[in-house]
Amino acid sequence: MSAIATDPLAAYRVANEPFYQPANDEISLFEAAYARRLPFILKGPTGCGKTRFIEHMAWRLQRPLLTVACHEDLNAGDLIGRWLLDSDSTRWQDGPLTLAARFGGICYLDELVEARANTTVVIHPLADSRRILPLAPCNEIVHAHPDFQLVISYNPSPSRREMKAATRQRFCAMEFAYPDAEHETAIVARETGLDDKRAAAVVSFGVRTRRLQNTGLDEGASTRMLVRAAILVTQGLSLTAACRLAIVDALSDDRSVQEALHAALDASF
Amino acid sequence: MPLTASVAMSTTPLTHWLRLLWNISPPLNTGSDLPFIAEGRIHLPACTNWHGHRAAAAHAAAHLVYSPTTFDGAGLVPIARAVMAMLEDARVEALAMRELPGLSRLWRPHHVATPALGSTFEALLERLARALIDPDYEDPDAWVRKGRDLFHSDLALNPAGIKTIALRLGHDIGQMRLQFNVKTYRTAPAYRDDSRWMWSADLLGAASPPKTSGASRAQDDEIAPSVDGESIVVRYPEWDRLISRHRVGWCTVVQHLATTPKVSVAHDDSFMRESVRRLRVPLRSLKTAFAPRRRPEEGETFDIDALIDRQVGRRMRSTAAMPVYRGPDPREERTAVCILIDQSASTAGLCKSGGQTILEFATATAGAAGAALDGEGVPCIIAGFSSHGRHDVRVTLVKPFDKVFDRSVGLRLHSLRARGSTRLGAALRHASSQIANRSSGSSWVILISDGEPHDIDVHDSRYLVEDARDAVNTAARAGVRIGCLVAGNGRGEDVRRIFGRSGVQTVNELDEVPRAIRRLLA
Repeated sequence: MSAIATDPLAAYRVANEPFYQPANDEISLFEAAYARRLPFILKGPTGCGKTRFIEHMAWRLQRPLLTVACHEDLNAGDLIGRWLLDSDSTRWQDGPLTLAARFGGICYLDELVEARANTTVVIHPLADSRRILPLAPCNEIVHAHPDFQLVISYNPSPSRREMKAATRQRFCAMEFAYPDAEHETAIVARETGLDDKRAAAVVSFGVRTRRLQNTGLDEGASTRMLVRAAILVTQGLSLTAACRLAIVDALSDDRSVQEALHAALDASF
Repeated sequence: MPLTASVAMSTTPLTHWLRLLWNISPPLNTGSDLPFIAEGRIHLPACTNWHGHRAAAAHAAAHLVYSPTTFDGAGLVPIARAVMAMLEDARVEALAMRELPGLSRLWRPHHVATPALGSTFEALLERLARALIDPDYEDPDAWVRKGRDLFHSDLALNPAGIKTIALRLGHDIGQMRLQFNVKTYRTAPAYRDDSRWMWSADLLGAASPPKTSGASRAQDDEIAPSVDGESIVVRYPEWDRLISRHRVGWCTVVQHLATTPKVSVAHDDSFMRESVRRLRVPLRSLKTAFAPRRRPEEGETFDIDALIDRQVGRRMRSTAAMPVYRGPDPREERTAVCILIDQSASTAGLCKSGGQTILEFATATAGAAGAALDGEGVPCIIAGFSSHGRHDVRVTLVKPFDKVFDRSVGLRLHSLRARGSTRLGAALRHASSQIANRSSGSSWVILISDGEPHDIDVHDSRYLVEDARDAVNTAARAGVRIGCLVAGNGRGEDVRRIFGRSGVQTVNELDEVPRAIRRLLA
């Protein structure tokens, strides 16, 4: 008997521990929420570690993790499933949300606010005390598995859509931010193998770029960007070249911001 | 756009750069003879590009970051004061280079003094300045060497120690009987400011605040609203970038209905009709805002009839592709459009193509677009705006929703006059609020402008840009999209900052408008 037959979510299990550097007590807070299966929002700027955190928690809790990257063309069928054609008949195919609810996984809807409003509302019955998922196309109500948990993430920003109150108020929430320089240096060094001194230099430049948030940039360099820059340094590039490639030229197309970032890079190293 | 003579160079990259380096954004003025700091404002000489300012701006900013606000000059003769100012320059630069090593490449090339410069006090001071910033420079003069040794001692770690060193070195200069003419002395290298900020008694010739030109003031005073019927007065918040908060009820918008002039105006109707016809094509996309997102080959639900046809086709061994899904039904959504005309005094300038003013071009474009929208059945308002400070943002409603686009609208458009300033954020908030309640789907504000917000009571060039950007983002959250057609020689970087790269199209001829509108609505 195949693994999928015995465990339909086998492919979604996180086998190896994803590295996550806790900033505070977020792990114990999430564990408390999971213990009572409370739906959870992770919010914070791009690349600050939200997805890595949920991967780490899925591994820690030994639960399958079904991730959906939400976008504006995402419809309800992409979440709950749809009828497919076989040779002489039709067949219902569960979507990732239905799979997680039916078999007990963590369903992680990344950047949910990007999805259309009529898509967002399908999660409502799962995110309150009912914990059910009505599948109208196949006339079925899925009662969520005891291990099922719904987690969504989004990046609050003035230039992005806001989450509807009806959705927001069904969730507990945890705010993520970029780690302080010391923690971020440790993360960059641990992720890339770069020595602490050069990792600190990359982080120091990244922190500078965040000063332009809302005054030139929507967001400064993310931890993910800093890790990429450090990877390029381990490939033999100079700090300046690596930061230009991974951070400066990637951050903005605005000419004045670009010029300022290049000049700041010149001044930094 | 400001009417006052503005410096040709944009200080935006310089402002960004200083924020990146030290997270400060001091007000910057360009156009002074020499660099100086006064009341926290950095004044820089005229320069054609911002890179030419970097050394001076970074030096002055380093003072704002690392220096105390004033120094105790008691008991210091002019020579000791000059030495102390130079030592403080070197101290803050050393601290800055410790944090940002690359700044040395910016400053050191300016230090070119050698013994060949001579042994006057000014020459020795310049040679000492080089010796303090350039570790590879060796000067044979004993006073320069002594100054360098004292500077690298523990004494130079703080401003009080700097004063002690200055007193000793100043005393030596006195013993050497060297002359110093404080009136002709100029700080060297020239990128360094004149240190007037250090001495309370020396704060002479402080910069005066930016002036508003007399011409602008006179024109603004001439603003007289054309009133026809009742006015609407609404107060809107304004985003203050310095405190990162909205100032509640900060701007007052007064909306009047434009009067219809009694005189008739000659029109080239055939040209206008052709423009309207060409504009109807791109504007038609606003009629059905919710187009099918997917091809019928893909979809969420089956079309039962299509499934039966497909099955019949299979049994007849047909190989033709038969779509079986239903696409999302196009829904009729009520879209509303506001065409907003910037009628600030700067729109009296000529378009790049010459021949007509920016305002004439804007009213012609608005007329053609309004007529095209009317023809397509899309609800539309047309309004002009100008401002005279935050308490007086005037919106002149040329075409209300409930009025058909007819010849009188064209006459009212023609009667709009260029005057006042451009408080863009308040005008955009007002336009957005006017159409937000009129549509069930997405709605649009199309601004026709020369591109730069400005008002007489705002001297921070970025303040109104950030406020307008906030207004655009707020409108987007309410389902109102805002795009800008830029005519004239507006500063592209500010417009793109406000509306985003895809929200701006540059046009100078009516022929270019349909393509620009298509791109804007894409």
